[in-house]
Amino acid sequence: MLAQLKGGEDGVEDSAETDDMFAPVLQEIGETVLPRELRFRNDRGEELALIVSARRVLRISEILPGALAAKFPALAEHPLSKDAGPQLQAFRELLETFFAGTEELSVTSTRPSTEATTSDIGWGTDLLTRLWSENGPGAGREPEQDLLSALCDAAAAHIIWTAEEITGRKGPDSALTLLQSLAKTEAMARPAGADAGPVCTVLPASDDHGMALVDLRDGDVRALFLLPGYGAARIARIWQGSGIGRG
Amino acid sequence: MDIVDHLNAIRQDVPACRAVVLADLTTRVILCVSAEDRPPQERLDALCDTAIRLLDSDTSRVLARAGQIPPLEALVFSADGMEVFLRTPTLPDEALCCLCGPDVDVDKLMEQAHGRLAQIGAA
Repeated sequence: MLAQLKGGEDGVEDSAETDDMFAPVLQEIGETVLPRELRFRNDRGEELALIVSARRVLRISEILPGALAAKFPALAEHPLSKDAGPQLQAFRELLETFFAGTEELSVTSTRPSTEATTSDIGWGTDLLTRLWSENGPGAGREPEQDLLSALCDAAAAHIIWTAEEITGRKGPDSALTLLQSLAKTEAMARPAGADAGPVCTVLPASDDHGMALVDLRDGDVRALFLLPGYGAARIARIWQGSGIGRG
Repeated sequence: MDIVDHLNAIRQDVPACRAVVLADLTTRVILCVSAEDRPPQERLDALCDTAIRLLDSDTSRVLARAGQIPPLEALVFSADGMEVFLRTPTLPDEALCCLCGPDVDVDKLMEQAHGRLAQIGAA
């Protein structure tokens, strides 16, 4: 698939223009459910290839030319789930460089050459939107960690479904089997009237040796997590750290 | 001390807690409510249904089969705030349900709610 993504006004390099470029890039990511490599190409022939699945950027697979890639050594071919703060800041700077002076982007969507994407967590569109907003790191504030990434980091096992198709999983087979069983139980049925925004249902661990069960719903994305020894307050801090429901 | 005094005390100690409800899970009856603005009855009934669904369901049995202790606490987070549910083994048919703002101190709420529920059970 090849598509053209239009930018801002001719020859005007300002923040409004890069904002105009970011929106269609975000839209492409937001519309990508199955694993794909999205390869963006700007007017200068520079290329940025992203591995995207379940509306999340899992990896930056390539930055061309090499001189541009060399300016961002923390990004290409590194998983994006850990140490997100500095990587996010670098990603923002990369996009600003990539969009500067660009009037039109093209994008191609192909099957990714690497299959090792399901254990990657990556960055969701909510996090990327916040990154790009005035409240992002560019305004001098560290971004709040994406909720799904934070839960994936903390969990011993997780399964992520997008439109009822499994798009990510991690953990030992026994835990994944347990999660599959729990996914069908009554307590994990979708809460009534919870269609607006993410909803997180939590059964905390009874003690340090127990497992907390967390069910996160956000649109057509559902994720179940087992978190070892996590009590109610500890999970609440993850939720509160995501900034959802504040302001 | 009446039950409502215990529920009021939870709200006093945890300012982000907007309402505290004591519900009987076996009969699905709201026993007592403490709230500055009492939620409508449908909201209270829905809260009771959620407590039953989370604390007294087949999920507990699946967790028990996997060697986990059935949950005595459950929480639902959304953009509107938090719903917190808890019960105690000494009062297995009843549960406390709390409606809270998003920034509630869950540590403090749990400590207060468990303490008050134990006192209600012992009365």
